[in-house]
Amino acid sequence: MRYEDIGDRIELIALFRDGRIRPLKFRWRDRVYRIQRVNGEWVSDQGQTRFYHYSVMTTGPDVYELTYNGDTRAWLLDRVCLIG
Amino acid sequence: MMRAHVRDRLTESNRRALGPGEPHRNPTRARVIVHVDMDAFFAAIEERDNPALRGKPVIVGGPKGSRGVVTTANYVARGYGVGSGMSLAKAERLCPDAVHISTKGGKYTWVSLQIMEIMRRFSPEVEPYSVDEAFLDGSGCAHLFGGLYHYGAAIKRAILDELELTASVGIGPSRVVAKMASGMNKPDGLTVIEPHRVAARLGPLPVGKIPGVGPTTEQALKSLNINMIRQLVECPRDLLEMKLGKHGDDLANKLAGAEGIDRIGLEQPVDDKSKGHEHTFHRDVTSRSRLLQQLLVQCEMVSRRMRRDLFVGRRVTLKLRTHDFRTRSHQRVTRDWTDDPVELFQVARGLLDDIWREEERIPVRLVGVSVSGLIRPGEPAGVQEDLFLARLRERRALLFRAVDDLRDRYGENIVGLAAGYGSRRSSTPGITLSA
Repeated sequence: MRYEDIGDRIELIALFRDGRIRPLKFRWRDRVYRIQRVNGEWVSDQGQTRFYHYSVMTTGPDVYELTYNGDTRAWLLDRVCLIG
Repeated sequence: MMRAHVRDRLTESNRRALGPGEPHRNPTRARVIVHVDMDAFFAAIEERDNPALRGKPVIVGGPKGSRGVVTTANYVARGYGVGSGMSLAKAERLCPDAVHISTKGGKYTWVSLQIMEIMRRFSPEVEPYSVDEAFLDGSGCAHLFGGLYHYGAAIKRAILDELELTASVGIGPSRVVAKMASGMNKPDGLTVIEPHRVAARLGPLPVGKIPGVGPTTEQALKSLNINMIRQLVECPRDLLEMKLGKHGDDLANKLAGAEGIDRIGLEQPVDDKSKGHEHTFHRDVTSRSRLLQQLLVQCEMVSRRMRRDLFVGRRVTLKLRTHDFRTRSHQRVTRDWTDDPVELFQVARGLLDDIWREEERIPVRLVGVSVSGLIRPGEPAGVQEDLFLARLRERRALLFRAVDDLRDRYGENIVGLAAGYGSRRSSTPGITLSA
């Protein structure tokens, strides 16, 4: 198992419902990843900008950390934990 | 969301805690204090967010090979002898295969806030005790859930269902009893100690198990031939006070808790003897200005905690650990009671000059600042406040209240004393104050 910092902007489809955001799938390096499970989520603030963080899993065992910037409304793939 | 294996564990734990017979119904409506203690909190969050970590030893603190200490180790790592506060180097020696994860304070704080929100649904009186612990006063609520046991189980279940984290819950007639109860059946435990069973359950335990009784007090009690809580209960109070001074009276309160008589309110922390913060440098430091910069930041942190928990104190202690792991500490009592970071820093700076000189160039590995002898503002302190300083203090108190509000809203690094700039963790440009 190893962590890799990525920091790439990604395209992401999410469901905004009842004041919560649920990421559904994202495109990274021309490949689409369907999110199967949200392991956990948390929020952080830097100055006036609020960031929404998600730890998600797709069809494989790897874990992806995604961040939504509430100010720029952009999604980032922060890092990946590669299993095996 | 709740996984079957976790649900099974909860059910099993509840069954263990309840044992055969009736749920605890609290028929006399005695005081009900609940202590909720999250299990290996930081490590559990990391395991939740990365299921591949489950079953592996996990150490939260810093990356492999880095300086600093273990913040939390999961139960697998604890099996190798790794514990909180241990140096990361030692932890790595004990458990070379552990996965090391850097502490992510913001993430844990956020989850902690979620937990406190859940607990507020179970009682209007919730007192966060630390990032992963809280007390609830369930006196008027527990019967709504069908008794003490069901009340505790409902709190545990809500945390598990909503956050996928386990907590150990202790319920008793006082804070001390509740805290001891939560530690009896970890992890994922639920222990109820009813008032009439307190003496039987706690009496056989060593006095060192009482929250707030450290090695010094334990030694003092041993010199009176008191080893067990039962012996402490039976010891005359005046003898305890003679041997332990004011602390003897505190112990008497704890005793009262152990006897099931609730003399300790939710609003009165029992073992908050001091507030402090330590920092291990990534590289040893030989520059006085760098040490002062770090000390200022730590004084701000300690002061913020004191304001948050409504304490003022007089005894400032500076701890210094040099490159050869020698630890020196020095303390000074200030004239007035204070929670002002600038006043704390001025004392800490004097203490630093007492025990360390830049020209000797002894590399410093760790610095710590703590304030003890805490009281509530307004409590009789026996010291006449300096009237000329009072107005300045009032103005600064207003300033730091505003600083607290900003930090609550925008994060710890948004604003701070200018001289500490550079020692704060975030590179986010914030507001600096000169005071």
